[in-house]
Amino acid sequence: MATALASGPWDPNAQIGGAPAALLARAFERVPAPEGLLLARLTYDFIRPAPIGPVEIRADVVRSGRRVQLLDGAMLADGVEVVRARALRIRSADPGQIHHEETAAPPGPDAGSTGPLPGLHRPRFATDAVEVRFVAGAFGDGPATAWFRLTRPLVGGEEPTPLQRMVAASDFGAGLSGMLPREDYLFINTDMTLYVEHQPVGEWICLDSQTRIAAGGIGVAESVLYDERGRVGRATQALLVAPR
Amino acid sequence: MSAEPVFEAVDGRFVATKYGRGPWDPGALHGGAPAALLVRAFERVPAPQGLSLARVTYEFMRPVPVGPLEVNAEVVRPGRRVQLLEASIVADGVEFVRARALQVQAADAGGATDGNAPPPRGPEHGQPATLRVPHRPMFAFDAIEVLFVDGTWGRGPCKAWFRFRRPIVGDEPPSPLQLLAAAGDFGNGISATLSWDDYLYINPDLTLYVERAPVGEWICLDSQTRITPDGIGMAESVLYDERGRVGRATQALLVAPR
Repeated sequence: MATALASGPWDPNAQIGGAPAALLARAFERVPAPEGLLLARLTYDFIRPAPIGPVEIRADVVRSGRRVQLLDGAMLADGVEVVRARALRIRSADPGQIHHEETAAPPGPDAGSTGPLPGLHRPRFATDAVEVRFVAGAFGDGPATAWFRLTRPLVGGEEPTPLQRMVAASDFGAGLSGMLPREDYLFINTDMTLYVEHQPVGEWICLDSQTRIAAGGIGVAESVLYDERGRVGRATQALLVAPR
Repeated sequence: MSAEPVFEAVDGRFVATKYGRGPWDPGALHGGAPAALLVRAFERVPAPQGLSLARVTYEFMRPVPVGPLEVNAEVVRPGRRVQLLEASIVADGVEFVRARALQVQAADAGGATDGNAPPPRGPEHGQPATLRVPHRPMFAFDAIEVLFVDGTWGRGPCKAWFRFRRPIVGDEPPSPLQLLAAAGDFGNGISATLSWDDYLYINPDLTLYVERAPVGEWICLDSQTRITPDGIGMAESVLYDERGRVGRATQALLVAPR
């Protein structure tokens, strides 16, 4: 049951993408993985607005092998698909045997400031279920870097996992780095792709985000993701950009 | 282009030729060949005016064989401003590749658009590079030309321009989007950091974000492959045409000692 805390900036009756995305990540986490396989990618297509109210989630294995596993999931409302998702798991090589790279995180959440978020006088996800600390830039004014922390359980009585926290935060990339005034323009993310380089830990996830709108093209928001240890992945969102 | 194509169109099916082969197994295609064929299928599905391709996600489930293939493409969620499409490559009832594509209405930002990020040095400055691979026709080199402007094959971060040497299907001129998809699958190959003699590098997926429809006959990749702390590989390539940046290709990699 989606509550008002899941609502987004555009419509009080619709969930922000991060809420269904995190719920689908939770469903994928509950599908057993073959030994040694780790999550490498999540792809979400936000087909229709996900309503506040009862929703169903399904998650299935499409193809399973010793080295690669592919999962498919969906959120349904009244039997109609509102979000589709895919997950890819890949066998991890022994990191002790192969030289790997780690990229340091930006200054931590303690160094950040609680910048202003666009005000709306109703409960919603960005202001009432998430804590935000800016370390560079500000909300909705071009490239910006900010730490996010879920302050509410995703599902009643459960502590959200670091992956669920990362997925919920990732959906803020477009809002964080968008340059257009919300009063005049819609910039709605129609999808989200998350590549996971390091399974995240802890409560805080940092987004270093940039939105580009090419002339005659599509708006795309890209966010490099960090936990407090270092780089953990990248999130990308294709945007529908139109005058209101 | 009058050269033999990568795929012959025969009775509604496609027959992959030797010009689609990958470097390792003479019976299997390079991922770039099916990636281009599926973009062609998406291009032929009618779309409402003003929509353009924003993303394609490929899942390479099994090595795609040289020989006859069926391609199916359909709209799974129609819309005036956003459409979701799916396509697959099937042979003998077995699915080899699945792709999902998102079409989005071109942005109307009232002129508040980016100055296009400029491209790397042009293909006229590029150098071909030799690669120690078997002497037989294959997709790299025989169907697609590769010219490096920074770095070279398999030595880490690099930049290279790609151009088709022959049609993808029959005698049709291939589209710039088909080239973008084909070239996009080369990121892990050109920027590999571990020796191919010692390690397998298999990409079970490819995600393409298209920020602007590419134009012209050349596409450039600015590629980097990293081995992550999780022990998988991640190849990221910023994509350019000769006018500037057009998107990004990402591949997750299964890395394993041979």
